Amino acid sequence: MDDAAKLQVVDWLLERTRASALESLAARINVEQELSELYSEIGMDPDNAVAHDGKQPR
Amino acid sequence: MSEFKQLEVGTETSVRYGSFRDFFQEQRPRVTFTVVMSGATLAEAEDAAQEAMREIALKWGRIEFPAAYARIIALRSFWRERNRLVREGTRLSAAGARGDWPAMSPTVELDESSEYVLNLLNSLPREQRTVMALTVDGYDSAAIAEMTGQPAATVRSNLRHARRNLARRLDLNELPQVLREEVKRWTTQRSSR
Repeated sequence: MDDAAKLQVVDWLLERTRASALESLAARINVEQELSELYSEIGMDPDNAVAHDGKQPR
Repeated sequence: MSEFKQLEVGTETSVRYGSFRDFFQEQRPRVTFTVVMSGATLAEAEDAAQEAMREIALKWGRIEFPAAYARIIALRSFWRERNRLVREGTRLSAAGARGDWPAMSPTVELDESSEYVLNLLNSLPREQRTVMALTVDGYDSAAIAEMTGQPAATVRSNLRHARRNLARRLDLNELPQVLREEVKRWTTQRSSR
């Protein structure tokens, strides 16, 4: 395999790894729980927090 | 955030996300992985990503490019913490620097192939890893230059060296069996086009 082909393999491997890892990480995150902890840490009441566009956080 | 005004990364503005919750759900895993790709363990990356999310929650609606900003904060947090460990003489074993990915949580199952690629990436110097991580994340050289404060030419040089180094260190015979077969299929498909 020549250098150009190996570079293409490297790019493909990186993209493949990213897709695989993101799937695992996304499945691992409990959004509601982590958001609740985050709001608690910074002392923000999510029910009263208003998004920049004026929408209430869900 | 005047220092990010020149960043034009797709449609990446806070308007796109609507709410911080949407932003958090989409970007939290991505920021975590970018920090992992730049050399952090999963635990380090999650701490860094959470610090970034905290700061952005407090500034939500006032940041023009929150995803780029999150990566900057998270990477700086990781480097700061890693430098602190080094200063304190904490020994980071090879396993500690990367190999605890699957062990950090039983709910995260990175396959053997991903482990191999991350270890390969971890063999690069920090600057090259960072540029590679942000490139895989979808940022171009101009955006990475803005984010890291480096000249664009330096970013391009680091990226070029990173790809060459990875290609040089890639030994197809050392790839896990499953990955080797995938690479063979992929190269065969490409050559037959």
